[in-house]
Amino acid sequence: MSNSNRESANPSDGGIDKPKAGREAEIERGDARVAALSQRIIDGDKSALAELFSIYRPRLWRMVNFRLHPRLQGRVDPDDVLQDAWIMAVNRISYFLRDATHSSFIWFRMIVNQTLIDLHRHHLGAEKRNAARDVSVNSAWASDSTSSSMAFHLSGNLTSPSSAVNRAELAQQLDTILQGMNEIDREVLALRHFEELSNSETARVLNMSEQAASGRYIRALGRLKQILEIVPGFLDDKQAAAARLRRGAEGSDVMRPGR
Amino acid sequence: MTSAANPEDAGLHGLPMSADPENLRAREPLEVLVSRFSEESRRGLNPSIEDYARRYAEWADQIRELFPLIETLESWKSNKEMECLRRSVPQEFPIRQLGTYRLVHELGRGGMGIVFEALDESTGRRRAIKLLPWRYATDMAQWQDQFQREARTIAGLRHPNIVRVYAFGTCEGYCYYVMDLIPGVSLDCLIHRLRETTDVVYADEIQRAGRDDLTDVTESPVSAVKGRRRGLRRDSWTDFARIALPVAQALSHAHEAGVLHNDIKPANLLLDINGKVVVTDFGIGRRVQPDEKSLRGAPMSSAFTTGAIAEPSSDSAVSEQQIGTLRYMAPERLLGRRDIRSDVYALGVTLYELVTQTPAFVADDRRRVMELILNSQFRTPRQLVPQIPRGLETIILNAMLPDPGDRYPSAEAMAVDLAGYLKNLPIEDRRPSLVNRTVRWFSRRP
Repeated sequence: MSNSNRESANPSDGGIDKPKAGREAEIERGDARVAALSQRIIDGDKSALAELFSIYRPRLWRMVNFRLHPRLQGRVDPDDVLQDAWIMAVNRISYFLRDATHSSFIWFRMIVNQTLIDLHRHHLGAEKRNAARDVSVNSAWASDSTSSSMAFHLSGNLTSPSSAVNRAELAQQLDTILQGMNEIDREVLALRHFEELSNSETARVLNMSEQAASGRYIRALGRLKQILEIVPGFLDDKQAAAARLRRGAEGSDVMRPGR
Repeated sequence: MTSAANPEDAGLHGLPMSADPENLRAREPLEVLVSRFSEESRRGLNPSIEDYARRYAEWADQIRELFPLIETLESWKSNKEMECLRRSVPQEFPIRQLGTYRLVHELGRGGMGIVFEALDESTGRRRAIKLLPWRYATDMAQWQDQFQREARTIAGLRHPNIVRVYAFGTCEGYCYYVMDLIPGVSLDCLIHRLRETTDVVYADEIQRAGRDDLTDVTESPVSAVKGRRRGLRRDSWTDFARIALPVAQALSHAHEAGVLHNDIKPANLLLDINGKVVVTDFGIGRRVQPDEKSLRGAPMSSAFTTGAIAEPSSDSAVSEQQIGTLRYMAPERLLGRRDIRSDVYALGVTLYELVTQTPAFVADDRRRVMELILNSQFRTPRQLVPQIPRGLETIILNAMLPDPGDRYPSAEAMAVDLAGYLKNLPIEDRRPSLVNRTVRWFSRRP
């Protein structure tokens, strides 16, 4: 049985390029739309600003959801953060031409970022976040906030003996190890993986060349893999489970079994 | 909040400087591949790591080393995002009206939506509405696509034992679709009642149980006439087989159309007052669990988790419900593979529970449940209830064989045996003999 159907398929018509072509066309159409909206925003058109904001909204939501401090998760609704950010964007519409010509998405992201920093300061107190504005490599985040966000977003998936204590301990352990990571590597991972920014967007946020961002990302993935292999309960369990079910190991991918 | 009134404040902190050096744009080739792979995963295309390794042989080692991590990270991320979203689903849903539909009351939360009983005010008909309960879901094009695709797929499956879907709509940022309202109860409700009483559970009684919060339930006059009431007892073996048979047929129909159900369990099978079973809540629009990454071969996967929407009450309810879904998963699904035989397995576990009124796999935490499933560790139905007819037990055990290759090859094959059992035909035991098993085991050693 096994996945012979799939393996024998010619990879060149296996659907890797086809959707991409459609995707690229989509992106081009999207770019043209964004360019047209940007022009209207420069002329002061608030409804164009709203339209552009709603295009980016899903991506901005993802960012808020990731950056929201674990203690605020469940207490602060990301939609409310985006609402506040929207008001701030409207107030800044006259700066759009100066600040957003290279990437309007990055401009909105920065506004949301600032909204989040204000919010964290308000909720978690000045002393908790007072280092926020000067420490960071990435736009005003204290260096430990990215690692705790990452630990939070990774630790929900621990499969180890799931007593809450264990889970919390492991998340803490992961946080500590992530803090030991090179700060730029960590930010690159956060932006590329958790916020789903493109390479060029990441390069722009971190003020580095696309080449450097590209290399950093690969390096950071390798480091993360090493880290997840050290912390028990992440990558090891599944392999153990797979070994246990040796018979299922040759189970099939196909819809129709070949019997 | 910062305002633009103060010119000092106008510059945003961290706003990147322009003047990116033009000569440093060359990206690492591996990074380009990683980006493409991630992008395809995010779009639910389930890209194959092996395809990549073969196409880009120069990078094959790195691809095999890094891509599984990316696949895992992507599935973790969407699960976590869904978890964060689920937390924000309010106890009381703020909307009472969707287009012409007035939401009467909540019927349940499961899969990725909340199901309501609704009144179509234009026709006066009662319907069930499944709603994606997040405002601005319509902004998240990906979610709306998946949800709409789920609706369209179910609507395309015309079968008397599969719930009918009539329409898809959006209203004030919410997505929903409209289904038949089945006047009946789910099998888990029935199993619960059978567990409570050694006596007969009557159809109209369980119907009332399912609708006890409604004021307009009419007392059925039939209930006064003993003997004419339809009911089930703990030992209604043939009736249990009659319930499972149309489910197997409905599954077979869906499989023919290339659709997996992915979430067969008692709670998703509704029994109406006439004894007709309806399969609901296809899990086709859902994203893989962390435990079932790399789901190639599945007709669809997407940004949605299999985990049920948590009742907002407590954390224990969350894990309780997640285990509720896990309990019916075939072992190969826990390892990231599935096909039509995984649905067959889930129906086997469901029938096991209906017949014995005991779940096949019971444990307090997910990990232990997974272990029991992976080791095929459960008591046979006749160990629990010796009166169960051998043929019926054989059908259950055939469906629950851990190796998909030993199991019924299709839902249709299971339906054939169920029909055979109802005609008192002998049922073939598909379990490999000890000799076969030993040979196979040795032949698989490397």
